Amino acid sequence: MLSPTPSKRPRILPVKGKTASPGTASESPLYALRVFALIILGVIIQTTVAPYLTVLGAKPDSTLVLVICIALIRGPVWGAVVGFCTGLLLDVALMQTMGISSFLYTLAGYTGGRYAEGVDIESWIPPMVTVFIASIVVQFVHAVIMFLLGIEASVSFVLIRVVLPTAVLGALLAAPMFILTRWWLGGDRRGALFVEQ
Amino acid sequence: MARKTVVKRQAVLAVLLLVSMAMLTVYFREPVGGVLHSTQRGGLVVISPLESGVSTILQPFKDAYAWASGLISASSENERLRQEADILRGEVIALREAADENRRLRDLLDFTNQPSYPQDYRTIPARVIGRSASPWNATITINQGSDAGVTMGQTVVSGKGLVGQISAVTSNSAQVLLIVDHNSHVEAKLQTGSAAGTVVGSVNSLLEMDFVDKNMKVTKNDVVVSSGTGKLFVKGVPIGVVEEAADQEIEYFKRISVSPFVDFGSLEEVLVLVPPAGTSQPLDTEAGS
Repeated sequence: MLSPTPSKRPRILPVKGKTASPGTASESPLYALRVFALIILGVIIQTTVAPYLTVLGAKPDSTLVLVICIALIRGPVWGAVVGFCTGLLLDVALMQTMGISSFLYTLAGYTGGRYAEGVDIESWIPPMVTVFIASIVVQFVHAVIMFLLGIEASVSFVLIRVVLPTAVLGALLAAPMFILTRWWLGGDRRGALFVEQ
Repeated sequence: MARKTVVKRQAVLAVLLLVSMAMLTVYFREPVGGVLHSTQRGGLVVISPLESGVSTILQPFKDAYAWASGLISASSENERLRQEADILRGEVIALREAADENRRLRDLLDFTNQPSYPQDYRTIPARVIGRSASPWNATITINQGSDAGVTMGQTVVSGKGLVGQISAVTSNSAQVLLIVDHNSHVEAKLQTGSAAGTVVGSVNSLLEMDFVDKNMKVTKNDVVVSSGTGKLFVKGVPIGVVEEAADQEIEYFKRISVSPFVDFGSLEEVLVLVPPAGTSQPLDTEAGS
């Protein structure tokens, strides 16, 4: 059974008394615009600031953290769509091969959203855990794709210098970014279309 | 209702993944002037002014971060730099003499047909406004594009040495493929003239000089410069120094590790070298695509 039911999983309750229902502000064009502005800001930060924040040789993937935060707040479909748009913009901004980032972020956003349906995201732990696991999977799949495209790299280098430090940095960024994202999006948890009451 | 929602979700996911995979396939198969490449350049025209603005605003914060992290290694680096300064001071004097001698010898040998780097080249100063944080893609974005005279394939340098080559251009920005990228290949030689080969980048941002004849003598700290062979890069630009030269029985060629002069992590300003009018552009295909 793919759809969570209240009897099997804890229902995700709205924050601060806000209820997501059809036709609420969360479905308005203005809301979509706010999400889009957040994506643009995230991509620009990833291309201008993040490369300079090197810790132990790794650089944070702030766009992935943003995608996961939105997925945790809004659910799998928003997560997938936001992941796709973010990946696409990132590929454009960095003149990378188009499709790789959108593919990976779409999967990460959808999976993050699905995970959020079964946990209490009032706690700071789910964003950190989700980002940590998503970072590892995304970086690993990225490495596999690059390997299939003929680009070789040592496994130990990829694991120790890329995958793990990036995941740790992402997890550390997750809690503050989750709070900021939720504040910016107005505290809503789910789009009306995908709330199962 | 729940079933319908699940189907809807999965349909959205499937469509987005399929579109991504289709883009990936088309991007690899299409030429540089194809739809996706053109769309990408169009998108970059819009994004690059935003990047430039944010980069300028955040510059003080980046400087503060670099200063704070620099403090950690400052004490140990201080001593090393003092020693290095002494050595370099001596080398500067020697190089000045060598430059005078070089000029005289050039006159004698009548090198008029050779491009005399860098005098004949016009330079376009540019600021780094974006860079890839991914180890799979060592590129930077600069704030000068075709409007300023930047074109594909032009060599990009910093005060310390070779940075890379223009790999994509829009009207107001350009992408530079760094020499440490795994797609980068630079025809190079030792400054001593004893060996020549190809300097290639790698995912771990190290340089290797490959295809060097095993019989050639290579020693640590030999300076590696671009050879200009194939006209992909300007001749004579310093790349780095030999870190290690390995001779393995099973290899046809000597493999040399090269430590680059340029610190690619802290690049802020670069110079794009524009060849003299009438000189053909060195590269006419997009690198790395």
